[in-house]
Amino acid sequence: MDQFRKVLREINSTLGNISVFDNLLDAVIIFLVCFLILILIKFYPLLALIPAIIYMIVAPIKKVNKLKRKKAKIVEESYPPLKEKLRTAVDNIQVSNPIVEALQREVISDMRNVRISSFISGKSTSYKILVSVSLCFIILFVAAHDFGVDIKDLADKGRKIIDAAYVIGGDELGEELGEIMAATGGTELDDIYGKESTANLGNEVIDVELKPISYEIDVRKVKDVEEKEFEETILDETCADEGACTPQESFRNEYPKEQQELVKNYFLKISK
Amino acid sequence: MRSYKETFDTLFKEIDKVIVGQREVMEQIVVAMLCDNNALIEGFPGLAKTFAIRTLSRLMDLKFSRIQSTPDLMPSDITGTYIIEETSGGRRNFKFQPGPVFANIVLADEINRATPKTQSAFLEAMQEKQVTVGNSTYKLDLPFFVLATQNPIEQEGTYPLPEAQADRFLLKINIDYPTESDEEEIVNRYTSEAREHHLRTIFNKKQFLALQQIVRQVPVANDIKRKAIKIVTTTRESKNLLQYGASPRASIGLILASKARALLMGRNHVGMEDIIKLAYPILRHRIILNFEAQRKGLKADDAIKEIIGKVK
Repeated sequence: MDQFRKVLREINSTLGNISVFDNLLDAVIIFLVCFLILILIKFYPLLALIPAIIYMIVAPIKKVNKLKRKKAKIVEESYPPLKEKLRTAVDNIQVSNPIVEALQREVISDMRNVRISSFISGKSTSYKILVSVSLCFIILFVAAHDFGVDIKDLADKGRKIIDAAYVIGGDELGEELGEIMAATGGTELDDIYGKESTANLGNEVIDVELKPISYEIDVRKVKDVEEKEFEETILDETCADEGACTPQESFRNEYPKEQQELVKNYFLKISK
Repeated sequence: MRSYKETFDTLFKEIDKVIVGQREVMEQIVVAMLCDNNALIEGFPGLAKTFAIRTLSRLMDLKFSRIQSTPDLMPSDITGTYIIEETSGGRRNFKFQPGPVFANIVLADEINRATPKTQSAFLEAMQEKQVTVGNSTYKLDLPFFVLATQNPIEQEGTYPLPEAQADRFLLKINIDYPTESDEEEIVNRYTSEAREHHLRTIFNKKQFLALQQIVRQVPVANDIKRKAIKIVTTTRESKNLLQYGASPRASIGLILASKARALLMGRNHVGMEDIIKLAYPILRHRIILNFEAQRKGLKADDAIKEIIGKVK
């Protein structure tokens, strides 16, 4: 009985290791495919880690459940003489009678002929490794030659086309083009205010330092103070018909009192 | 396990000395006996049904009795009755005279010719392994089996077994005609000078009872057990084929009979093969085809085949 339990533990650990290796291979392929796509569209390539990590977490949970249920069947499939024997012995591990003990002995003896390699699907593993290597080469090639389309540039270009269409063909053409662009995943019409990242800059605190501009006085250019006489004819002509018209009075006459107060306060504040 | 296999191989070798072919039928009869249960054997006349059972009783050193069922057969003819016995002192006492049911293997030949009242006299013996006459109950000697035969033709004047009674038989075994080569061998064997075959006893009563206990120890995998139960429960759900499905007694019977077959084959576990092989004799007398299936000319075995196909 103890020997049989030992054999079961060994089966568990072997199948677990093989499953981890298989998962790792799958995760590598997922990472490489995502990485390739991201470098082709010139978008943060390290984001490819996210689906690979999610797969590494989710897939083993599913596989462990499947392994628990089908562990015996997997071993039986790899060694047909064990068919139905192993799962019967596993299901009746708590039973103790001469027939069950004989079955356990038979299973242990048959298990000696089971090779670990029989659990690994050579064909599928080779294909996975081949796919991984090929993807690595493709990524190197793409990165070296800087292939791909910059998705950000494409978006800017699309926006410019729409703007141009508004100018040339008016709102109708612009809207139509905008709709087409939106349907094909291009620039959205709402995005007419430029990049959102730039817009957000307005919320950030910017330290601006105003350096005093150095000034030098060229003594040679300093002249004596001139006295200039201003002609008052324009004002006189304007107010000729209205009698004693001064600029102050004109201001009082033309604007309502509230606005005059407002202007007065404004200039007072400035002067302060 | 090898010793069990060798023992059963020897048993069938001895049977082969007398019965030509019909290996599967003989296996199924032994399966029913190993399960401590009864079997209903159906086949045309002249197919050695009675002979096969008599041979088995000789090989197992079991007491054999035969009851030829007729419409005038009374229950007391089977169970036994009280007779007046005069003692040496001149006193008269009632003494129980056991009937033919007091044996290890009871062959109820053409059971469907007996009246329902007589048929039901077998019920208690089959199920409880005891007989009640008057106010007294008599235990039957173990092992006890009723192996009944019935004829599929000449249905006039017969009383088909009621479902409740048919359900008491673990297996309904169909005997078919032998192949041409087997028939030639039968002719050669039974038309020559030497007709008497010397059979040696393979088991005694005690050994056979021990074997019945060992059968119950044979383990079954959970998924195989679930499939066996699914086959039985599907008979209740298949309304497109069946009017009535099999009872849980069929599930018990299927698992137990499969255990016995596994032991017979020298295996220490039940396989799906055992379940499929025995699903037919276990279920064929426990299901009733609906009108549509009968109209299409389907037989119980066809319906079982379809159900097994669904569950597999």
